[in-house]
Amino acid sequence: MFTMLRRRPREILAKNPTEGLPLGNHSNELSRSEPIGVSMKFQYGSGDTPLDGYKIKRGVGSGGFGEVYFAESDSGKEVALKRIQKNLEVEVRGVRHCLNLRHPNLVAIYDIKFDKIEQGWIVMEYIDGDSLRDLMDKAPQGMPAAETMQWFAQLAAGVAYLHDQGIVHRDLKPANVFTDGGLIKIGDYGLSKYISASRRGGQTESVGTFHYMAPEIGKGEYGKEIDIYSLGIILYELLTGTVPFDGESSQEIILKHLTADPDLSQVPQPFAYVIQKSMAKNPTSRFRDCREMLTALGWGLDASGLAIKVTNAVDVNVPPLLQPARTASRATEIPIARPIGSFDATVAGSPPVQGKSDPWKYRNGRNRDNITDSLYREPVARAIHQAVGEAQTFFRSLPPGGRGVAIAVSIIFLLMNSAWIAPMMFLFLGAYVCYYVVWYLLGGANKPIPANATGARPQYARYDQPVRTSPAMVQPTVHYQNAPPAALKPTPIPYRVALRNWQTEQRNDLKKRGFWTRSHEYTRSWTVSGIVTAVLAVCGGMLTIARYDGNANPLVSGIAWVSIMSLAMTWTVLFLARRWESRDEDSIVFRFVQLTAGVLLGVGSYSLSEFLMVPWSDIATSQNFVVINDGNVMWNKSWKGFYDQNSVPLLAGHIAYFGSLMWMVRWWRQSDILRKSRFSAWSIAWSVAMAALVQGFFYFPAPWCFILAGVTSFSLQMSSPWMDFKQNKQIT
Amino acid sequence: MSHLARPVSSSAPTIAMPQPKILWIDGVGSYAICDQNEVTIGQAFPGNQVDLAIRGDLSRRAAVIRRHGEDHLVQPLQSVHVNGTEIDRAVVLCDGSIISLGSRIELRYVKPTQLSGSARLELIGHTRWQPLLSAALLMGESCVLGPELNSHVVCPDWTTKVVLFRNGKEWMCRVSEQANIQIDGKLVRAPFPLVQGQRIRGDEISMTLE
Repeated sequence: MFTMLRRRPREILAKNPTEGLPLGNHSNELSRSEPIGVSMKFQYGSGDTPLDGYKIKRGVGSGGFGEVYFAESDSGKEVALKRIQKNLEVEVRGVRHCLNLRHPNLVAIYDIKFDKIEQGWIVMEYIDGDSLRDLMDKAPQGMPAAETMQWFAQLAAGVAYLHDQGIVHRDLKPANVFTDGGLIKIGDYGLSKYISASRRGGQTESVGTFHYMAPEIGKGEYGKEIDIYSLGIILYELLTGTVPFDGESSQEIILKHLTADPDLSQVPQPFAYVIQKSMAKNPTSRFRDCREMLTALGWGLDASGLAIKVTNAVDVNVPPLLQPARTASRATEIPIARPIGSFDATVAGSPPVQGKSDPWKYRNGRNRDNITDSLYREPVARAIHQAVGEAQTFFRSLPPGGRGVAIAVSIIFLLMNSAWIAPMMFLFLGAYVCYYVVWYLLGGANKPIPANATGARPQYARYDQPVRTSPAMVQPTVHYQNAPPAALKPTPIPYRVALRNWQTEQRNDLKKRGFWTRSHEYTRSWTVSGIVTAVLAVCGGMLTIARYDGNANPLVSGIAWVSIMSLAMTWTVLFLARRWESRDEDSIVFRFVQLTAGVLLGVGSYSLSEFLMVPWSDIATSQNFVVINDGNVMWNKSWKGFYDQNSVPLLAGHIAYFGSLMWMVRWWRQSDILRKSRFSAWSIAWSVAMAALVQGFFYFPAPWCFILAGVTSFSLQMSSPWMDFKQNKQIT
Repeated sequence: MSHLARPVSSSAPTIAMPQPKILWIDGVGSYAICDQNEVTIGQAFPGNQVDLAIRGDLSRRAAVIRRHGEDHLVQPLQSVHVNGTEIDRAVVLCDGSIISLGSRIELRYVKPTQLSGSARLELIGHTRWQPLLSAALLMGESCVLGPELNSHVVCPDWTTKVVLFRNGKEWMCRVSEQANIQIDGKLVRAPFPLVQGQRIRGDEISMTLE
């Protein structure tokens, strides 16, 4: 003991505190854990007392911002002492702001002290446990879902508390998260930045570890969305044992954050959904806060801010419930007599907490507005959404040529087979409506569906199936040290985000245009569309002639009808779109206006076909391949009064067709000056598909109804003015 | 003579607990070095004379662990279970044995290698040692500190290992020359004695015996 006492002062004086910092301190910014083989050297050794009142026992580790020691106060209190090395001013300010935060899932900060040589020390709670990083290293294949949730829920609870206090952690990573006998403790939130609405980027220095860093950090945005993003990555890593984006260099990793999508093929539901949503490139598409994220996983926060499992959610493998516990609270009027079963009595990582304030009140009050995503409440809709998402991903993975072929093939397939596809669709729709009504009436929106009640969830992997990843994926990251700890270059903004920002900006500018500029645009578009429609209608008519085996002359009146009607539609839409393009999109209102215009167009169409005496029954090929023939009744023709004996649409038929078509398709988008691309084959395909859908409901002579929609879409896009985002971007 | 002049009052009233020898290893943890033949385990409270104290609900003197050649035996002084079975006489421990003291305290006996009679005693769950320890080392004739998982003290970030071995009453350190071990700023040649209060520093090794 006494040798030590004598040695101490010399040790302190011998070393300048800033010199000879160990390697580990610097490399830590890039490495996920302490690099193997590199020593951790500490300025002070056991028995040193650089700070009055505390005796250092041993070095614990060194983070990006300083060495951490385990120490005991003179009276025997065990603490962690963190020596602030870099950015003293910034760090002290940040920590001072967090000095009085109190949450079980945060490492408590006791005090900030300065020693004789004006070094700053943070006195913190000492956590005697592994970091999440250590735990993950022990489970290179990922953890079971239940264990993952045990950790993750508490982590999210701690972050939720920080956010509630207006603090963004900004450096969430497994190495900063500690476990203390089943309890999660988030550390290093001294880096945190006070959220202020106006000034989001304060420190210009890049912070965080690249693997867990949200794409918008490159832009200097430090909203709480970056924590949500990091949480998504940590959740991914907990489950799979690997980070979603890895690379040889920091640049490579950053690029992946900006462009790549995480591989969720090995991740079971609902985790895949939660990870995908929290890792959205666009910050506004992520979960709005941690509560929403937890809710999607079947967890929540109790009134004291601790993570709590919603037992109604059955299991983590059951899709998330967004309005848990409501039926339970409805069932019991008297709060005291409430059944305990609706909330798990155990709070994650801590002994049961009883007699706290009412969790339901909390859920139905503050928490409730988070419950918005109706898509994920209903299992069938969710399954379809999932399938569509997968199809989309597949489609995107095709080369451009392949995409074209795929579109062409599917259009041809749809047209040729609409005879059975359309009735199937309607059957399904009808069945679904019935199902939804039953589901809703049974309280499906409010309470969980037992796993076997719907049978609509076969593709969700059970969580107890081990999450497998290929061995190549789970290689521990040895490369990290090689990557240069370069300062972050200003990183490009993700395309989608940039496009949206640009659109908003431009839309504001569009409001300022003068009357004449606008009129000029109208006339120009109208003229162009006139020419385009005429040409296209003729081409379309030719296609019909090729299939037609009678006298082709009556077709001329059909072609005339198509040209004039699609011209009228184009002009109508052009007129509406020009008026709307400086406004924020209000889909339902716009659709309704279009519907109204559609009714007028229907009237026009009927008069026109009467005037031209279009011989519909002669020139419609629909008898051969489009009509839905259910026994003897063609049921989409069975709207009495819509059609005459020869199935030729009357006024009501025209109105129904045009009205529906105008309602179904968001035509104004195809004419928007700020649309994504000048010309999109997708839009045409979509318009035609919608026409087919309408045709399945209200019969209209084919192929004319399809030609009409296609021609309108084509000419609309051709004649509408367009601002090239990419070009515009280069100029500015 | 000077120590005779020292006031005695400082040591008189507050002899709390006999402090075990503790090896503080930077970046790794703290380990009690129990090199006596009999190690008493009991509750941590001021004045209790046990070798290893646990903060928890157990007797003042709960069990004695006795070294017997290369093996360790546990002698119950209160209700003690080994691997779930209550014992009423001394029982030989083997690698992985779980010792339960009272109703809530569990210890794991780890003997990483049969080449050495040393073993590690870890607390499972929430309970802690007093003073705070990562584990207690029941010392045989030698003990290994190193990166391998079968070391008595696993030091994941090290590349070399340190072997502690008995030399009469004192402990000696054997370590590779490449480690550049310094004591009080002076390069030392292995083997060197492990002296309380001396800080041992190398390229990656940094530890102190208290």
